[in-house]
Amino acid sequence: MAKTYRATKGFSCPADPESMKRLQSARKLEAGEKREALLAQVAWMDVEKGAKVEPYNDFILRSLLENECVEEVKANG
Amino acid sequence: MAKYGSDQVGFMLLGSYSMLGSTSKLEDTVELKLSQTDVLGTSDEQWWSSGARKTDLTQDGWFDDASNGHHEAFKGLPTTHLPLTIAPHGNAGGLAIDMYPSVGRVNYTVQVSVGDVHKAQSQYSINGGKKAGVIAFPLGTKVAAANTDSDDVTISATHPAGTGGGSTVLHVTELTGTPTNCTIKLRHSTDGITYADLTTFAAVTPANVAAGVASEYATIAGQINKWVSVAWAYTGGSAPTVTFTVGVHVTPAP
Repeated sequence: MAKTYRATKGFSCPADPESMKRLQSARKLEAGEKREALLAQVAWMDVEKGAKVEPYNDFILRSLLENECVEEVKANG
Repeated sequence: MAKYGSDQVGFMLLGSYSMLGSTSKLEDTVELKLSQTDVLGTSDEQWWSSGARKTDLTQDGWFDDASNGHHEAFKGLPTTHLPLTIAPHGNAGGLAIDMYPSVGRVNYTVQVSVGDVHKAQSQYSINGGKKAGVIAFPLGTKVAAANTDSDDVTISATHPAGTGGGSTVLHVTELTGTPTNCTIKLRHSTDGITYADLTTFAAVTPANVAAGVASEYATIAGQINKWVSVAWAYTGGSAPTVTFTVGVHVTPAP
C-alpha cells in the first residue's frame, strides 16, 4: 500500500517525472542555449502547507524528505 | 581581490524608493565603539570594546523629484523606518549587497547655487547595523505568478550555507496592473530539485508602493541551504507586473 504524505511547509518541485529528468539533465550542463531550453521545459508545481502529497517516484520523495517538506501520514493519525 | 567602479552599482533602494538616479557619492562608515580604560598611575592609553559597532551613512547627489525618488523619500523627513539595500557590485544573482535592516531619515539638505545644478544631501540613522548579503533575486520585473527555481542562485560554495540563521530583505519598486496585492516568498533547497518556503513576506499592495514603504526585512532562524529562489503570486485584478529584488544574509559561523 502506497504511503501518504502531507506538506509540512509550502514548496515547489518539478511537476512530473519528465520535468525531473529535464531538470537533472540541465543541471549537468554549462550555461548556454541547450541548458536554457531544457529548463524552459520544466513544469513546476507549487504545493501549499498541509496539502496531501503523492510523490511520483522515489527520487522526488527523497528530495522532499531531505528538504523537510513532507511527513508521512500515519493510518491512525 | 577585485576592484569595482561606480558604473557597477546595481541599485540603492530605501523601501520602494530608488536612490540610484540621484546619487553621486555614498559614505558608509562603520566604527568599533571603544571605551577608554586606562587609569591613574599608568602612562599608556588602553581601550575596551564590547564589539558593538556604529554605522553612519551619508549620501550626496542631485536634487531629483522623480516619483519614488530621492526627494520624495526625504522631503519632510518621514519618521517611518525602512530597510535600505545597496548593490555596489552590480545587479545579478549571487552578487554581494549591503543590507541595512531599519534606517531612519534624519537630515536632508538641498543646495541651490547660481550656475550650478541643484544638489541634495541626505543622512541616515542606522538601526541594526549593516548585514553582508547576496542578491537572491536581482531587481527586475516579472509578469505572471511563477518562481525562479529553474534560475536559482547559489549563495554558498558549500552546503548548508549556514546553520545559525540570517535574514532576508524585500524591496518592491513597482506593482502595476490591477492586482489587490502580491505575495513574494524566499525559498531554499538542499539539492536544487525541491525548494521549500523559507520566508513568506507580507503581501504588498499598490498603495504600499505608492507610499514608498513596500519593503520588509525579516530574520531567518535555523539552517539556510545552499540554493535559493523566489516565488511570487498575485491576488485579484488583471495584467499584473511586479518589480522587486530579494536579498539574503547568512549569519557567519562563530
